[in-house]
Amino acid sequence: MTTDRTALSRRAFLGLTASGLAVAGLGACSLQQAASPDESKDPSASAGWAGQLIDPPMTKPDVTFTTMDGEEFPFVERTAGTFSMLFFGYTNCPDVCPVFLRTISRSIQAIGSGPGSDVQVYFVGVDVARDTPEQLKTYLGRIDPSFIGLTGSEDVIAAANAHLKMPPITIEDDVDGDGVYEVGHGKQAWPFTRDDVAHRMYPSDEVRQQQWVRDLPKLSKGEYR
Amino acid sequence: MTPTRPLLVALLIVGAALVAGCGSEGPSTTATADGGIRISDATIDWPANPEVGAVRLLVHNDGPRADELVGASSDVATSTMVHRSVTDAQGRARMEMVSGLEIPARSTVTFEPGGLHVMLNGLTRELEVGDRVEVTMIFRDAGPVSATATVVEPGTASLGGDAAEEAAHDH
Repeated sequence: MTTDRTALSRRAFLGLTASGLAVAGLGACSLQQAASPDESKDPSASAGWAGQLIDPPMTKPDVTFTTMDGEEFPFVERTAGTFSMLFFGYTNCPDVCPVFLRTISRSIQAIGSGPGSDVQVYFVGVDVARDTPEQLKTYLGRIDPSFIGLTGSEDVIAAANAHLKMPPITIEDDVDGDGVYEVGHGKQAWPFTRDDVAHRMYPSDEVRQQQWVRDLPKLSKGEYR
Repeated sequence: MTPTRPLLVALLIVGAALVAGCGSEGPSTTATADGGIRISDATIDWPANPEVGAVRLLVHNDGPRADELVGASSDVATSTMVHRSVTDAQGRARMEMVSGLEIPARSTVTFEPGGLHVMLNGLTRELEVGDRVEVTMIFRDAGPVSATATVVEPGTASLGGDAAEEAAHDH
């Protein structure tokens, strides 16, 4: 059991100052325009890339997931030589996960055909109690039926998560038994290119459709900087 | 009069113009209470998980006094809570329960993806695009303020989607 279940108390949010909120409210429009990652951190950003360059590149997690049909899915073997996007989330996630997955789906549709439209999206449901193969099928079917849902034991998911150097997944205990509990997960999206590594990492909540439409065809063709 | 004062007034005017620009696109349903609190632009992306939904909206406080959001409810959910998406110190995406959110005087607070949203847990019926759902936000002073949220095709909401981004670029 490697999943971190340290007590995540349901902390009430109390702290923002009036001025901070006013700025947040007023700045909403301009923030949307300035949502791209900080370009000063990564020289490749100035050359028209979103996300971050990963050097040396990230290798694939050598684990066996379970598919939506309940079949074994050895990730390295089954995705070898393909353009594969790997993302971890959970199906009760109301905000970051569906927005990201739908943005990727619309981006692939916008690319239409050719390089970039060939990316296969893999969604790992980390909330194993609820993210059953059946639930993943419903969830992804309503987002993009071409996406492949993966699950597995907590140990398998934690091993893949650790390999990708993402922070440990946290799943709060359902103390009230009402099915409402908090899940924390890394928000990185990993595009594994045909050379079976990820040269870039994309924070899923920071990348806009137009950036994916620009980056996915280049990644598909083996470019990454 | 100190020279800073006209500058402050000018900034407030610019700020108000920005807010007006934000809310100008898309569906707009507005409810007003005596306390000067209004809710507009309430939408719900058609849920990917039929059991949970997230409401985007704007809370406007037109009055001279701050108020406080103390709760929310909806008849389509078994539980309704105000959440904020946060990235914790380790870099995890997480949800934080929000209770007692101050709504400053003469301000607009935006509920959109990546930030605040009203989470509908345990949806009691299947939501379809075009459905209108009653959401009630409860304020310390203004009391309950209801708004009608429209279920929209994902990606078309006026707040915090690509449609919003395009609208922002058009301005």
